[in-house]
Amino acid sequence: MTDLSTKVKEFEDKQEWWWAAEQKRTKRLDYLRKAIWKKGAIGGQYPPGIKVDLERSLLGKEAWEEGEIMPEPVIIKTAKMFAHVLDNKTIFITDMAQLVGYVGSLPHTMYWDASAAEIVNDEVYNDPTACPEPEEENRKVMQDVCNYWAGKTEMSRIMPHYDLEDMMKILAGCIGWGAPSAKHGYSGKDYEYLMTGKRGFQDIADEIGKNLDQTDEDLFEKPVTADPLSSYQKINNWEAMEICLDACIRHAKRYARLAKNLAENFETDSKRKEELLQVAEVCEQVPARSPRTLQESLQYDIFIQLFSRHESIEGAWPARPDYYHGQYYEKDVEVEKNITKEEAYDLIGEFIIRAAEVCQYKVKWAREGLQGIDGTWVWTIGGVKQDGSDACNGMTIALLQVARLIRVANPTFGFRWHPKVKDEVLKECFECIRQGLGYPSMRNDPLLVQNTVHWYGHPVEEARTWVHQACMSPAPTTKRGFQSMRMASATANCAKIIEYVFTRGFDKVVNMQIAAETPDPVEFKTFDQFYDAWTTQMKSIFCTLVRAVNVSRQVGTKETPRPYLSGISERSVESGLEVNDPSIERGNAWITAFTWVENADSLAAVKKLVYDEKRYSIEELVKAIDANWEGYEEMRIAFVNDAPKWGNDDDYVDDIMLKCLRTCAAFSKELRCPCGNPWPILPENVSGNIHYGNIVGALPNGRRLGDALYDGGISPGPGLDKNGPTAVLNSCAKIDHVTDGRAFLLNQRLSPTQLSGEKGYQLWKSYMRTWADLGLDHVQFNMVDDSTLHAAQRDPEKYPEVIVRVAGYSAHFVDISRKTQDNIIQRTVQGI
Amino acid sequence: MARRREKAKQALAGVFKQQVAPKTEEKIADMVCGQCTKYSENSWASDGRGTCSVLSTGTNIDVDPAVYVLDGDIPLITMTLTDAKYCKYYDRMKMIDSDNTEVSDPKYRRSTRQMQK
Repeated sequence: MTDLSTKVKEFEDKQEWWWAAEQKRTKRLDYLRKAIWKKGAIGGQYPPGIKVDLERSLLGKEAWEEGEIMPEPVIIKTAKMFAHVLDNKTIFITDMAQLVGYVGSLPHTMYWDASAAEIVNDEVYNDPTACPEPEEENRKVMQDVCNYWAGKTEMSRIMPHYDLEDMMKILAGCIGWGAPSAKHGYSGKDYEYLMTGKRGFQDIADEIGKNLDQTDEDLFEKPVTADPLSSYQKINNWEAMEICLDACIRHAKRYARLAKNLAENFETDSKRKEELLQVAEVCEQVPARSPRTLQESLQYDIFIQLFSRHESIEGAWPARPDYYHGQYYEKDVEVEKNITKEEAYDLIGEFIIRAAEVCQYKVKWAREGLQGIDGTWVWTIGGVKQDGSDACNGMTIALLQVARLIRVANPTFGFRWHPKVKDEVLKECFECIRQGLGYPSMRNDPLLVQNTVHWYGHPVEEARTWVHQACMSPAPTTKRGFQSMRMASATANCAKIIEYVFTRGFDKVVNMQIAAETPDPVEFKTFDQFYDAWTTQMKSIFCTLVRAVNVSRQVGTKETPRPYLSGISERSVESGLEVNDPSIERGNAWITAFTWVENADSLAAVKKLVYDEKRYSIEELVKAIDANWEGYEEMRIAFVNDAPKWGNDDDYVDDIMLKCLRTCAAFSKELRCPCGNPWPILPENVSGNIHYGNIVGALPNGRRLGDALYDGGISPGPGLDKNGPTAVLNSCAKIDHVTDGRAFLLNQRLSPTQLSGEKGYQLWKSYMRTWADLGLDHVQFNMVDDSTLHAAQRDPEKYPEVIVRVAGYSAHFVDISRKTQDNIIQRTVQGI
Repeated sequence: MARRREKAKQALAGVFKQQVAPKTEEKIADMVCGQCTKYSENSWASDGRGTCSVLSTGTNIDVDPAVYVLDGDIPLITMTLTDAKYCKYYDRMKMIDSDNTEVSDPKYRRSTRQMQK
């Protein structure tokens, strides 16, 4: 054994994975990894040293001011602002980098688009740590920018279109998580159009040019039609797309010039000089034309994503890197051997690092709900091709191995498991989980393809292209299948459903009537009456959220257009319609159901202790809930301990869970998105269970105001699953994961000691087989033991790199709040 | 329906009136709404806006004696740093944590960074 391998083994034996990885990666990767500025908010506040990028906000203001006198539609003004920023922002290339492109103008900055919303601007201005030096001077700059945009932002433009009462309820912050905007949130991409090697941005711009000329010719050389306006609108849209694509190409060429300049005039190291010239060549090629090599393909992908973040505040990163880069990996590494595997791993590692560095200033609900990260970059790997055959390739394995070398908490992977996955790939997934990354999450591919077809009618071939639209929801990457906005802004804080049954829709925390005024609960003589009120509250909350999101989509094409995203989407390039126009998308909406399981556990407790056993009257319960259980501790303990809890294979409570899900599923078919499709629910949480801890009042499962909520999806309450992992799976398997909802998040904690070595892999594999056979669509694991987590709480300086799975994402343990940390430790460690 | 919209307009006016232009650093009063158990900071935004769980719109706690409205449909929209010295409903919370993540009494957790001296 060499010294190095001995050292590595020592670290691995002690499960000190970060130190082992440090020994194993190349010098370049080690440098790039350590040079990352971690930008995810710690608890709810940005880390020291991370500053708002004022340059973007100033350039945006400059462009908009200049366009004020021009009678141009919003989409053209938006495109010009986008182009002005890309043409003038500071660019840089860091040491050792082979891939370029940043959202900020310096590595430690957060992007701030002041044109989005006054509410964001106010937060930026009031943030005590984010203002760059010199602070006094820059506060004034910030104030100027904020004052300029007051009354002019996108939020101001779309607000008059909403129902005012709905908006008031949403802004109160107790039932919804997200901003109903068609522009911000997250957007899928038409990867089948962009990433299959058939075209680059210049090719698309040429196509747009032809469409423009043709429409113009039809308008002015033929007799006047009854509707010239729609043609004018298309022309404006195409022109805006063209402006954006041209700006993107110019921006890449600025990098090419910079790299060449550095190589020819400043760099003394001959190897680095060569690398910089290579960077220049790559940026000349992409995004203008389709990539030819792995480096070009990765650079192309980075550009596509970064440009999107120059247009919109993106909270997710739908991607499928092994599928779309696999052909280049195969060509360069396996067939033509143009680069070594190690060189490829450096590129792939840097590709992930570039994503990890991205940060856009987020408002409070996003910072607190996504503690430790900037957004849920859940990259999809594995799965099948459009013909149903296994899509895993060399790049799949490379990504999983590189992830263990660089150990970032974001992006993470979601692995599309299917029966044809080879053992060598599955083993790599397991190694990532075993080494404490918390990812990949495991997704049941055949079932989710079926689910995607069931809810939205996507053709099966298109459904098979699916990527995680955010943490959980599958969305195709095809012309009409991809989703261009965060329809999931209809994210419901579902614990409020059961809470409002007791308060008749009145929210005691914000002192306002938020949902339906159902009858006084003391009048409910039967559980069915109680359940009817629950159904009414659910409908009331869902309708408020869905109405707002639908409106945002309807007005989005005019008021908050996305010319860049339109320009890279076949459906817009072809039709001339803005990408969010509902007529050109099939629809993929879902309601994210935060804090969901509290409903099943609470309803079960009410049914058992009040209506079945009559141990307590409904009047007593109403009083106890109203008093936040204060003075009713004995009764509270009975509601915790004597009522059945979800996740123990107990039909009493499991049947209630099914009843709730099926009530929602039936109602979701009555709700329609502007594309014409239903709104199925998707239970999951991110860290909303902590964010909402002080917003949700007392509940009949024994919870008090301020206690953390359950960690989400269909995961049992922490520590309440007492009958082992099979019981958890059995409970979850009673749900029909195709027809009962869109997807169902399940958190599980496993013991790293039990799962060490080959035996551990075999145990896990057989657990996964059971999981698949039972028809569950999702599971994700934490495999860090309690002692490490407690030690990290005591001594965070010594454990900066411990990663945990929070909910639909991973985070460094030290970057999440104490309450979230405790919540993760409370989860039951399952022996399998 | 007109009434429904009218109420919402009043409430929204309360929300928006304070956010048009950012304020410069303020002197912090001894009794601020942000440290009262009746106050709930808005969980959507962190510009210091929040609601009172007891008082409704129409209340004025800037004057002595304060004017209280307890039975309205719309909560009093107040701010973390609003001086509450004239409010008879003021109930200061216990501060048990000051690391800026969980901050105060976990039952009434909210951000207090605007209260930092």
